Amino acid sequence: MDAALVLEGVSKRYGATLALDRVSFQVRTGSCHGLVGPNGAGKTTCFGLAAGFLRATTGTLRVLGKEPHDRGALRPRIGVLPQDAALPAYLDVGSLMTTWARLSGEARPEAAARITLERVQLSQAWDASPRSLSHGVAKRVALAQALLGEPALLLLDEPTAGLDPRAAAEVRSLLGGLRGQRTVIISSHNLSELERLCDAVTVLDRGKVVQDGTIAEITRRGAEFSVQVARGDVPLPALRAVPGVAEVHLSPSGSVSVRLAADAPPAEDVIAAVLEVLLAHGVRITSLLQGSSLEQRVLDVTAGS
Amino acid sequence: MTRTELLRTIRNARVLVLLLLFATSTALAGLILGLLTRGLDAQGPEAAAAFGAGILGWLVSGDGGAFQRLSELPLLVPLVFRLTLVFLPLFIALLGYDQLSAELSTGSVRYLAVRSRRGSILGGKFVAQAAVMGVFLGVVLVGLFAAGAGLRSGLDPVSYAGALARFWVGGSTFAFAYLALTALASAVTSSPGTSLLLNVGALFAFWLVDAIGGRAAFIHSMGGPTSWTEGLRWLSPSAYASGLLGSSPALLTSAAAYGVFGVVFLAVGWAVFRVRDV
Repeated sequence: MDAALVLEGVSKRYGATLALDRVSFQVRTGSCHGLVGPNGAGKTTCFGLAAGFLRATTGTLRVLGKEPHDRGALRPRIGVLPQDAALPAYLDVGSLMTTWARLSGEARPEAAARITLERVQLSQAWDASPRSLSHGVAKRVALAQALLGEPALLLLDEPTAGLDPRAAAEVRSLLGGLRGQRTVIISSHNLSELERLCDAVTVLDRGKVVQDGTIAEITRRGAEFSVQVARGDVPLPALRAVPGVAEVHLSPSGSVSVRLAADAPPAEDVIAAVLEVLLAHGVRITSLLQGSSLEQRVLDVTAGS
Repeated sequence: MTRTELLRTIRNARVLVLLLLFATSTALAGLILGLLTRGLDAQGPEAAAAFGAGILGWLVSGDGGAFQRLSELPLLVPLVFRLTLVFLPLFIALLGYDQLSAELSTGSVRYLAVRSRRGSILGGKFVAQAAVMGVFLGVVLVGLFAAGAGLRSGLDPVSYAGALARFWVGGSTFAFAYLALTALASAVTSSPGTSLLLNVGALFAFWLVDAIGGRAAFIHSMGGPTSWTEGLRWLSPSAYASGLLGSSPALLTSAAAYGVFGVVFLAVGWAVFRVRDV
């Protein structure tokens, strides 16, 4: 795999606290990758290590093929939205953005700064003092600075946290537009957002990787589905006889969970066959969900945290 | 980096207030000492010369060449300059204690750290502070020398300007070392309060080492026993301050010592800042 980020056995200790414990995973170049897990799972530490803010206690870390501390080689190639990092208050937004654009290697820093602020719909904030910005606007300025220099790798820690729904939707749209153009790694507690944006996720819990894979693999879209029925007798024996079905379970709430056999035909064919059986038996269907939601999966694998 | 830091420094209200406060204090000290030396002149040239010789002797501690050259200047000038050197380290600490520590505490240093080498961040902030301090010191010294010129007639303009340049070079190397100490304290701590505490603590430790060594040297010079603490004072930047008023070899030695202290402080600050978590 052509990897933009590689962690191999990375541990990070803060005094007596082990924040990351031999973490290994990779992020494919050009993909959108989510980092999820409960508070204290080690997501922000992973970001800090990848951005070169922190040093690993043990293990190997490669960012775009380089040591993350080799800032000379990586300088123009990484954009970072740090979590909870206050904007410096000593310059106005325009001057800050221009300075950062210059440091990011932009040939025309002021023009680049203006264009980037426009991308997050914040042209009007050019002369504002960072002190006067609301949390949401400051977050968007911070996001804008991450985009300066057209970085090959974007590390976004909680990009929509604290934004109102409209601003969050705009940011999601912006990030969606970056898909395929560059590697984006997003940490977020908004799992439905990650499910929509990301190709793959790594689930962390108490400093360890508990699940890592593509969204389809983790949500088991090709391996199971569930049908919510409103009324009617569910013909469990008939369903179990459908080719490709390995297991059927009916919950008291009326949810029929179907797990596919390893050698099952394509999931869409099995779903069609199961629905036919249900309809033929007069069962009324209200919804169908392929796989489990990312949120459910994360809750399952991080149970007890 | 330096340009941004310069902008930040000169737009910082606290820095401007401190610069103004220091300039005002220096002017006030100059005014009081000017009135005092003028009063002595009124008592007669012998009284003024005796007082001046006593003060200068204390300032240059037996450096004959320096005594001769300083006696050609209005007494106000070396006296206020020496007084300035006493308070300058503390002033520098107040000026720059938060240059990095504040950005570390709020996390804003991350916006820089992702784009620049750590050494460039530390260096940029240091150079900006040094530039401000160099200009400020120049302004204060020009004011001081101008005031001194008003107190004594018949000064040779060329040698007077030369003395101004010597004082500026000496003061600047002195400031360089203490600015580096402030940068070090700011780079190794994570909050402005801790940085200031460390900086002031180091100043006190340096003063203490110089005082202990100086006392041992004094006892030895009076015929007392030698002590290992005598040489200890040369590990403290404070010990080299009087050399800045001395003859050329003493000035060069002191300036070189401050240069070495500055480089060592910066090197330690860089070594720590380069590998620390931000």
